[in-house]
Amino acid sequence: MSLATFLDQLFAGLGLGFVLFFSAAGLNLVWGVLGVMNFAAGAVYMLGAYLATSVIARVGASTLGWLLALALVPLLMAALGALAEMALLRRTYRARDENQQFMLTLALSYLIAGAVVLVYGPGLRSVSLPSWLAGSWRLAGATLPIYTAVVIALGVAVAAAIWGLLYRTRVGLLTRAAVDDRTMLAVLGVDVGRLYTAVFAFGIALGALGGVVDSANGAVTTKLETAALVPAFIVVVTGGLGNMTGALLAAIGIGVAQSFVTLQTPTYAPLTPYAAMTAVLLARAVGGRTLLPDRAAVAR
Amino acid sequence: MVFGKRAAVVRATFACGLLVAVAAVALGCGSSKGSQNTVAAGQPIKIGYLASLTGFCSSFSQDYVKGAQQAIATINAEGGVLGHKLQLLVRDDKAEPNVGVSQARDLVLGEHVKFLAGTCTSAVGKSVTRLVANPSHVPYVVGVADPTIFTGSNSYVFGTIPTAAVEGANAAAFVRAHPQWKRVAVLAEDYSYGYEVSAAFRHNMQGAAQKIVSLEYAPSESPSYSSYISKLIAEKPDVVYNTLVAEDMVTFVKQAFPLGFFNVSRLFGPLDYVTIDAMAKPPVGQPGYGYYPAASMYSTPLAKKLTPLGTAVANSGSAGDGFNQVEIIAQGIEKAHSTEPTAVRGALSGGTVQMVQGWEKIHACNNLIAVPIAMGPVAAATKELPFAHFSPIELVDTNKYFTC
Repeated sequence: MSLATFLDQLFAGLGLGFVLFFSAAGLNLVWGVLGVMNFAAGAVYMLGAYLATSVIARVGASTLGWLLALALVPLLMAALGALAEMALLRRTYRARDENQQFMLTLALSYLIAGAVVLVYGPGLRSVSLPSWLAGSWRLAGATLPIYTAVVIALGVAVAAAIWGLLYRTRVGLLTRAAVDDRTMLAVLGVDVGRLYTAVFAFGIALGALGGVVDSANGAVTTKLETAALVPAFIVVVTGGLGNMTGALLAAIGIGVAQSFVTLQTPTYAPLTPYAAMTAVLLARAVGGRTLLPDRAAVAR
Repeated sequence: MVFGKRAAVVRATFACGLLVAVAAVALGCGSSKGSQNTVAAGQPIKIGYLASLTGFCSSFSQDYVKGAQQAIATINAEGGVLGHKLQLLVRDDKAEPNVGVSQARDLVLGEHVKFLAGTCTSAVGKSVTRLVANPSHVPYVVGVADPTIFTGSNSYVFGTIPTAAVEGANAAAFVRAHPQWKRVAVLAEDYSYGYEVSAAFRHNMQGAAQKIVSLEYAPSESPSYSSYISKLIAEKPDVVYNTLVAEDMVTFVKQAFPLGFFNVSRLFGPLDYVTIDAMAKPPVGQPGYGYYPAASMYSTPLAKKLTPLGTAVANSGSAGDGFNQVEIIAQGIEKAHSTEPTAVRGALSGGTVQMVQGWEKIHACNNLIAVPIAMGPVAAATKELPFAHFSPIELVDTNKYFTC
């Protein structure tokens, strides 16, 4: 394999890996940290992509248009997420019943998907990038699309921001404390309800951001919902529930592995994420560890 | 991204097999009633229409319905058929065989439709074909590419688009006509259509001076085809016969531009209008083909009847196919002077029908209609044609690919 071919596949794998990370980041925060089983994560991702096409259609496929989409869509979705958390999901916390959360968020995902079809129709949508982002760089004979480089940089920044929020801020400290003992935190005078709402809204904003970023990669259709949800769960489970660094490494690992498998045996490439998840779960089982780490571990 | 789609299809096929068996028995009972074959005076002739409004190919299924509804409106405005108005009953088959069979059964037994049309996936088409073939004898007009649906034993089923065998043969003929393309790569979708069309292509490339340097199957609905594109670039083919469809083709083209694919190779494949028009940057100059009838491709009386749907829908191709399916049923009833299924089948099979494309022959051996395939380089939108299209267009007569 030549260096150029190796680098081409590496760049393709990194691009795929960071798209996977964006689809998983919001779910990892909401499910992994808050413990809310969010089956609407794929619908949030899809809605983010559709809203991006609306902003771009109105403002234009310019740098300003994309900056507005990257800022406005996650903000709007965070507000909607906060509303959903306060009006619906909050009622499920006391029972600690994940089945309720599953059914509720599944219903929300159907509602979002139905609303998208009503508003946008079932047709294909596609958006273009500003000209400076649509090109590519040549590196050692390989081609690195500029947008792929931007997605990688943005992904690293988002991962760092989440890690910083959880482990270097008072909000993060309180969130982790709430995961460990919600009642004790409330007794100490912390408004745990508001804290959960804020973190849930942030998780939804992350999911929508993923949709905005991915809308430039390919076609925007209602199928983005399932296209995002399944890999998101695979990445979160493989990386370790609530472990943002693990999710990032899992997403990159799966993306790069899938890319190189495509080069050698393309038929098996789609199996790569499942194989990776199975291998990690088996390794945990053989090592005597729980398959999904206890969320209390996140708190610690 | 749908991982393990083939496994899901296998499960769905097993599940619907049982459903088909049960439904076939039920339909058999229903068909024994004499009233099934006549429509009372003043009553409408009901046509059941399956559309994949959700699931795979939902992105263009509403246009199928709009085309079918336009045909109904046009025919009814002209007095209907044999004094009866036509009525369209639309059901969502979700692009799932078991759902399609269930909906078809309900349309026939519950709604007492006399005719069926629609769906855009071979999997649903195949299941419904088994259901309607025997013993209920409900004429079914469908636009799917699986050649195994259209056999002598399924003579109540009529096809409105070329099969994968015809499509692959035509693609091979086009590539062979360009001997300067010495290295040919094939990228096909990882499901039945992709396998069938690539097999037909390879079969018809046998003996050619050109070399097929690679054949890969890519998953549908993938968020990234970059690794496939990089692999193709490394193989340096002169042309890539790419049969990814709809949103997958959009994603492929979008990612191919920055990777420099079009600097080293050519893309050739099913670039129908609804797909290339959805691209923010269509692959101008690349050779493509489409067999779904966009109104602007034809100057025929029925093509003009798509005009009220508006430029975008009338040129989607899907609307034209939906329109054709209803027209064929209506013309069959007119020719037979009856709604009796065997009479309608007999009137259509081996005859000609007026379609958006013009007068076309229905081959008696398989009830497939030899519609033309439109080919040409992709051109950007113009003032006259405000959507991406082929220019110039060559309409290939597909009768030459029929052996009967």
